[in-house]
Amino acid sequence: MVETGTERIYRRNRDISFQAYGEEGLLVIPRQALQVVLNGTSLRVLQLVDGKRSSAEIAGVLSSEYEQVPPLSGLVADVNSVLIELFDLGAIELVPKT
Amino acid sequence: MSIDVTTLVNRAYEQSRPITAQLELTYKCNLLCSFCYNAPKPRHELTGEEWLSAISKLQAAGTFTMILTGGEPFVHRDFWQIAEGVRERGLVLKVYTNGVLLADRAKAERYADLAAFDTEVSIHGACASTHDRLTGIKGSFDRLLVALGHLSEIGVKVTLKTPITRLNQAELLDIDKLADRFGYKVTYDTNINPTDDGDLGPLSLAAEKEFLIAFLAEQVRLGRRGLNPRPVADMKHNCGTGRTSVAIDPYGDVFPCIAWRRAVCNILEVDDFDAVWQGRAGPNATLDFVRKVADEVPRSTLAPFAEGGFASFCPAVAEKETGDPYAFYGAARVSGLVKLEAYRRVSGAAPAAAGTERLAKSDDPA
Repeated sequence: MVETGTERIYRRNRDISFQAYGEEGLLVIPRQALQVVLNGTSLRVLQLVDGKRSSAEIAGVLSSEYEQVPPLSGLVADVNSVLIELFDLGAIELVPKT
Repeated sequence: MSIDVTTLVNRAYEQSRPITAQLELTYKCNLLCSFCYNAPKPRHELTGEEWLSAISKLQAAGTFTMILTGGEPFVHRDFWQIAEGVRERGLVLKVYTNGVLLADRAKAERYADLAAFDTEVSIHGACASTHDRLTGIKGSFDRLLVALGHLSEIGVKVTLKTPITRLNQAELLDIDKLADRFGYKVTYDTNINPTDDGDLGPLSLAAEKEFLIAFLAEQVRLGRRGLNPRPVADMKHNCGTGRTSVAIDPYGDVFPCIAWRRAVCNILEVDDFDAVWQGRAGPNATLDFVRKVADEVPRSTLAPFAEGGFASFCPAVAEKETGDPYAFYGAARVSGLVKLEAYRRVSGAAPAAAGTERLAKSDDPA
C-alpha cells in the first residue's frame, strides 16, 4: 500500500532548537547556521511533532485547540504543507516504517 | 504578516526575558593574554552539576542561547558534561574559545557532534610571533592553526575574532587571508576594555586612532562591514543589559550582562531565577538601576554629540572608567569619532542626521 501524506510520521531533528516568543517562535538549525521565525501554526505543529503522531493526528490536535474550527480537510492540508516546509528546512525527518 | 528575528528580540526585551546567557565556566585559561579583562578570585568555581542546575534555572526564565566562555571554557573539567547538557535541553549553544585545545582531532570531532550554532575563536595576529606575544604562550598560534584545520575539515562553523591592538594592527589584512584559507570570516573588535576589577592597564594596547579610521573606511569600501550611525535620538534603549542578556561568573554570581559587574544574585542561592528577574521575588536594586541607565543613555549621553550615533558605548565601562555610567568616557568617544571620520571619508560628507543615512551593509553589528 502506498503511504499517503496524512499517514507520515515525523520526528524532530535532534540538533534543532526552538522557542516561543509570544504567538510566534524562533527555530534554530545549527548545522545550516539558520534562524527561522515560525508563525503560530508552524510553531504549534513543530511542538506536536514527536515521532509518534501522524500528520492527520497533529491536525486533529490543532482542531481541538481552535475556538472556531476550520474544516478538517483544509487543516490537514495546512499541516502537511507546514510539515513539508519543516522537512525541507531540515528541522524534522521522517520516521522509518518498521 | 511575517516578522523577523529582530522583532522577536524586541518582544523579549519588552518582556525582560534573558534570552541570551553568557556563562563564564572558569577563569582558568591556558593562555596569558595581556589584555584579558577577567579578574579571578580565590573562590569555589561551579562544578558541572552546579552549572547544569544553573542552566535549568535560566531556561525556566526564558533563556534560549547559552554562550560558554571563560577564561577558556574547554579548560573546565566538566566542559563536555555542561555543553552536552545545554544541547540535551534543546538550547542553542555558542562557545567562545581560544581554540588551542581543539588541536586534538578527537576533541574537535566530539565538539562537532555538539552542533554549536557558532564558535567564536580568537586570533591575535597573522604570524606566531605576534599572536604568541599577545597570548603570552609560545606555540599557541601553531596549535590554533591545527585546530582551525580540523574544524574546517569537519565542517564546524567558526567566526574568528580579533581585538585590534597596537601590536597586530599592521597584520589585519593578512589575518583575513589566513581566515580565507579555512573558509572563515574575521570580525574585528576596535574596543579594548578595562579588566572587570577596574584596572585600566589593557587600554594602553588600544590601536592608534588614525589607523582605525583608515582601516574602517577600507573595510566599508571592500564591503566587509557596514558603518551606520545608530538613531540614538529615537532609541528606546542602549543595549539589553538586565533585560535580554544575563551573565554568570565561575562562582555563580549573576550579572545583568558580561560587562556590568553589579551582582543581581547568586544562582546557587535562588530556586526561582525567573521570579528574581521578573521582580516577583521583590525589587532588585541592580536590575532596576541598569535597566534605567540602559533606557536613558541614548538620549541623555549620546544624542547631543555628532559622534554619539557611531560610538560603541557601554555604561558598564563608563562606570568602571569614570564612576558614572552616563559619562561619555574616553574610549567610547574615540570609537565614535573614529567611525564618524571613517564614515565621512567613505561617503564624502557628514551624515545628514544621525540614523537617517545608511552606508553599506544594513546588518552592521557595530
